[in-house]
Amino acid sequence: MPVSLQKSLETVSVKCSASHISNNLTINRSSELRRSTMYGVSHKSGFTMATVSEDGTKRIQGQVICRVAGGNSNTTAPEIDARFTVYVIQAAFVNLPIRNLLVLACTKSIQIYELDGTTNLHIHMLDKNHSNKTESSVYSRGIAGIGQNLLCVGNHQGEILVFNIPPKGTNIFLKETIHGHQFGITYLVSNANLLISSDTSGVILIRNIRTMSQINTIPCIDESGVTSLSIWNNCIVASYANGMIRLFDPENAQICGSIAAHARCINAIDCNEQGLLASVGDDCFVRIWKLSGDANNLQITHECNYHLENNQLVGVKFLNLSRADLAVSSYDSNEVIILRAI
Amino acid sequence: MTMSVKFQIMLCPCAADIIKVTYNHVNSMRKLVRSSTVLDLLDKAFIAFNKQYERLNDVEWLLIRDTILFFFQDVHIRVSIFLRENLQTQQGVFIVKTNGIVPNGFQTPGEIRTYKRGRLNNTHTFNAGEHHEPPDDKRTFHLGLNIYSKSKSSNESLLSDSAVRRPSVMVNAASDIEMINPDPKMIAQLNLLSDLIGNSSGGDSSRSGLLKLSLFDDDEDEDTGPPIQKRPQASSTSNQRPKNEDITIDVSKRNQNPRLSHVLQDFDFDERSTRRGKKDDDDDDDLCAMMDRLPGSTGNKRR
Repeated sequence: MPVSLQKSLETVSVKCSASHISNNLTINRSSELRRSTMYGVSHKSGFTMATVSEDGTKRIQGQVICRVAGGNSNTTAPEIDARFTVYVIQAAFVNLPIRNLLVLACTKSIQIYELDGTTNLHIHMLDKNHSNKTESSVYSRGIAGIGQNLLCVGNHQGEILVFNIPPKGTNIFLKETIHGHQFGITYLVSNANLLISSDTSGVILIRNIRTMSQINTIPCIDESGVTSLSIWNNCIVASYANGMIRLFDPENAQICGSIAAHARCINAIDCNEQGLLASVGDDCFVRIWKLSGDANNLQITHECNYHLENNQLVGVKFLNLSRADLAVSSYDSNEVIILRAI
Repeated sequence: MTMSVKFQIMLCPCAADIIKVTYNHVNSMRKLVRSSTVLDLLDKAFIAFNKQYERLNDVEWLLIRDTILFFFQDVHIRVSIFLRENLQTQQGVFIVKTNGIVPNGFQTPGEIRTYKRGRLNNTHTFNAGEHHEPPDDKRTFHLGLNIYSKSKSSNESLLSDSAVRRPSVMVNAASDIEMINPDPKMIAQLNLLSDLIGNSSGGDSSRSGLLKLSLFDDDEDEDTGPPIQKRPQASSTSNQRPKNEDITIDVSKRNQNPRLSHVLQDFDFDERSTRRGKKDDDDDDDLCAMMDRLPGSTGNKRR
């Protein structure tokens, strides 16, 4: 029975519009303990979120403004001076077994907050000295939690910074820096055993979480960079800037599927446990695919399309890991659109 | 202006097309520049731009585009030319058309392939919901060109090549500068046309069109009043026969043509006032007094 989507009448409004960056929607799904869903989108120098209770009645809005790099509070109007302007490049709610955090990967710094954004826990300034001449901008991108208490964030030099997160308090410190990529990191994703990282040139590196050693490398295909990653059933799903989605087997780094999915750059993808894969792009389409089988014998079918006219979509997340309902965010809009499966 | 830059950045099919927009901008600027030093500087800047930006990969371009779009976020000014050309909605949102030709390096959406042990196993298609065509390098890139330019044909559009535009209000844009300096043949043809239309007498038209008036004969003292009224008649006759002839208007023969003198009497206030017996020259300056003296206004009192 193919999935078909219908736009829900309830939309989630956030205070500010979403920026045009990839993977610009993060969700903290409702759980037994907290029966509400948190939606967050990045907006220029800040992050805006809304918490919606499960029945939809209670809605709380919140906002986090990035701390200005350098902490020079005496300078007049730091927002106008371009040297001090900080942009959020990627934001994510990170759920570690011991703690839940909000991580903002910004230009020039990484900022870590409590889940509701109220308290700033740590600011890590990024290293400006770079040997790689390609990137002249300094930014961090790619956020993933691994293990019990480790947070990984990528940067413009292709390094992955691993932070140790304490169960309580602000004693967050940089544990190690992992090298491997030659270009800036675009996304990080992890499961129980693997940490997958991608960069702007299209190279994907697969590491073992326990040893942090590199297991495999997926080289760049047709000179297009990776914009987003996901994992399903030990199958790596990668979306590319040229509208392609490719699936790989992490054990042998071989390709197991490819979809010519969008006519414009793909901004975000997400998978749920049922094998549904959702992709959104600048072509204003949400497309859902069904994956079945495994990396050795993969079947891919197309479930449905949904066209949101004149909305360049920048983020997508499944609301529930066992259903097809999803939320999408769009550039210049402060509405998070909910699409329900019918 | 803000909205047109936002339009050009947002509607670029792929982020690296910002280079093509810049090429269009620079080409249009080159047509406007007259000084060779400025042209030289422009070329140097263009070469430096090329050197810096041609080596970036597509995701790095995405970051550049996203950073520019931070600046334009939440700007929804409605621009009349975009509204007219159906490129912007009434809420200020740009209309994004993504069917048609896919950008360079993209594949047309529709194909799903599965692989087994690295080798192609199965291929099938899906319905992409829109009609797409493979990339075409030969089409001219229109974003960044002058949207007001007269020289655009009606078949071209700002976005896709398949849409047919309604003809818009077009003004003489600076980029049409080659049309403003036409070739001599065109000038000669236009002059001939204006002569044919302007001078209806035909054969003996001369090009000089100069009319010399000598109001004052140095030898004689003449009353200058009436020639002012007679001049329109004199000049109209002289226009019809634009030869280097002298036309003498003899004022002393004023009363020769009874019809003309009757017309003159209608114009002449001074004569009427003498007829009525008022010798009040100060009242001539008073507009109301003059109006009182007009025929048919004898009953009007000055308010």
